[in-house]
Amino acid sequence: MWTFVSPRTVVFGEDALTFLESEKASRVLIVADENMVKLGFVDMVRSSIKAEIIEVFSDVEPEPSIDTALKCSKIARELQPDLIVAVGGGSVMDVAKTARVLMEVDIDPIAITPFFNLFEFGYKKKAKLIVIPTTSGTGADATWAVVLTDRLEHRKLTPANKELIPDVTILDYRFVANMPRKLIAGSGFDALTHAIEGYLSIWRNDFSDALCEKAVEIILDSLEKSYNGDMEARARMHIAATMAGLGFGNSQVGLIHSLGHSLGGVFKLHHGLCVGIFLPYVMQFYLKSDVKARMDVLARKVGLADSEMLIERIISLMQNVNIPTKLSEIITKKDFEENLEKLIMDTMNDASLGMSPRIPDPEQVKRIYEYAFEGRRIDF
Amino acid sequence: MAVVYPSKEWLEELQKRVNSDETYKRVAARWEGDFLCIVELDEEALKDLQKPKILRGLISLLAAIPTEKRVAYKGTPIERFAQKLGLALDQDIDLSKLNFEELAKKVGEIKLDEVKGASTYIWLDFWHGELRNAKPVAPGEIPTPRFVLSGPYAAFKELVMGRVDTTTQIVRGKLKLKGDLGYLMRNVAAVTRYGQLMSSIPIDTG
Repeated sequence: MWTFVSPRTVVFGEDALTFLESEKASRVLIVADENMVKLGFVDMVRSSIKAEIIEVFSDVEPEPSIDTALKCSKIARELQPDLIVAVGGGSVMDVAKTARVLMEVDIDPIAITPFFNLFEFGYKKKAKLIVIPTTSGTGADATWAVVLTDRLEHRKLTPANKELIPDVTILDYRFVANMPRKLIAGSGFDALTHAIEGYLSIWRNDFSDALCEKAVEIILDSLEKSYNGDMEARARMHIAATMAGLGFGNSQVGLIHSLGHSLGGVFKLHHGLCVGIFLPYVMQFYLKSDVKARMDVLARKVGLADSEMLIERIISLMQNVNIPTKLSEIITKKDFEENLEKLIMDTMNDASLGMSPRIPDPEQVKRIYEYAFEGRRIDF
Repeated sequence: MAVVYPSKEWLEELQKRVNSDETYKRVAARWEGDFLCIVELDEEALKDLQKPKILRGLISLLAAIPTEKRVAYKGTPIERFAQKLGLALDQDIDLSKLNFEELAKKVGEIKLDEVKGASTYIWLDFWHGELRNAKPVAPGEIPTPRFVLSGPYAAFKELVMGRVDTTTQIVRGKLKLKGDLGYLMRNVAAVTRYGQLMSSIPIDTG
């Protein structure tokens, strides 16, 4: 038995935020970060909600820690909101998704796994969760996984459970109209990686395929245009990111995310950049297996001859939107070598690895890191 | 050499493969935790157990449990299953004296309802890169395993034959996992490698 899980409602368009005006709630918790407050996004949300009490938790940091999720859940426990609204990027949405569960169930957030029936532990889903993504990439608005950082171990962990999925996602283009170019590129590559990994995952299915294929098509067509200021392309990227989220959320990601999580956990780098940089290398690694045939199909779906052409197209896109193409552009050799063993073991211990269509052993992971550091084409 | 699942030989082969694997040693160097696998008899099991080799495998597991511990099965559906084959669990089981051709025919007469809930218990004790114990146990013999993996025989069979991995079986609802899930999520490499080694054992389907 398999299930397709998605938010109950996806609201999209320039005026999508007006959806909030019809919401009835007495106590509302808005989850955001400081930047969202400064940009006036929190006020936009606040003014759209009618409720007796509205509290704001704006302490979410980039690549949020387990402690931040616990801190937010503590506030939620005290407030007992019947509506939680997250406005921000993946970090904000992941904290809100976790806090909604932890405000009712007292467990280690890392123990929130797909194997866990939250309702057996008293979860009653007391609060509705509405999310408003302000970047176009994470897909966190449409998935049942979250990414939290363990600051002690310097590694990222990925709690996942179907009850984590938001009820409503609001895709209002105004929130991404002024995104910095670096963020457009990084989050865009996050979305592209989601769509490609979701398409190649061992859990892929016809539902996820349809969404991932379309997302790849839109992203290859629109990311560079969006990066260069085309607002119509920006709006399409916003849709594609959620579409990729719906796709990979129902088939899961794999090796690229395992490598990216490890890199980001150790060096505190933007997630989109971390996964984007590994995308061509892992696709080259897949060329040496029967995954190639699957990548060929995807390439043809987007009008390219084969996997090789698809990889070339991706490398060209990376260069055009200023995504680094090798690790040595963003970390020093000394830092790389000192942390290599940890990077390997964290990759091997990342929960996404199991859904990869070709699972490397630790020695192969080491070589992938080394090739990616030097910018060499993977030949094994 | 191919071995029957479940059987004492399969457990021995599993232990040998895990303990001789350098990758497992490396990725599971810090792992501390045992699994109790509860394999429930289902229609697929009753079908497979009509093959003498496979029936021998299952009985070899029961025989490997010391008689004084095996009595814990008393009153359970597995005792009913044994009785239908003419076996007494409170006595020594000498595999060399059993006619498995005849016993397998008797399995064909058993209806699932008559033995519903019959389960075998396999204990896998992993510790710092080693599978230090892999053996059949009696109900209640391992009171507090760190993890309990349970489900029907057919779901376990798919696992050991490498058709599917453990996580997929759990997400599909075919197997249930209970225990220290936070620990497991921090150490998935050990579980993944173990799964690869387990599914690398050639299975004799009788």
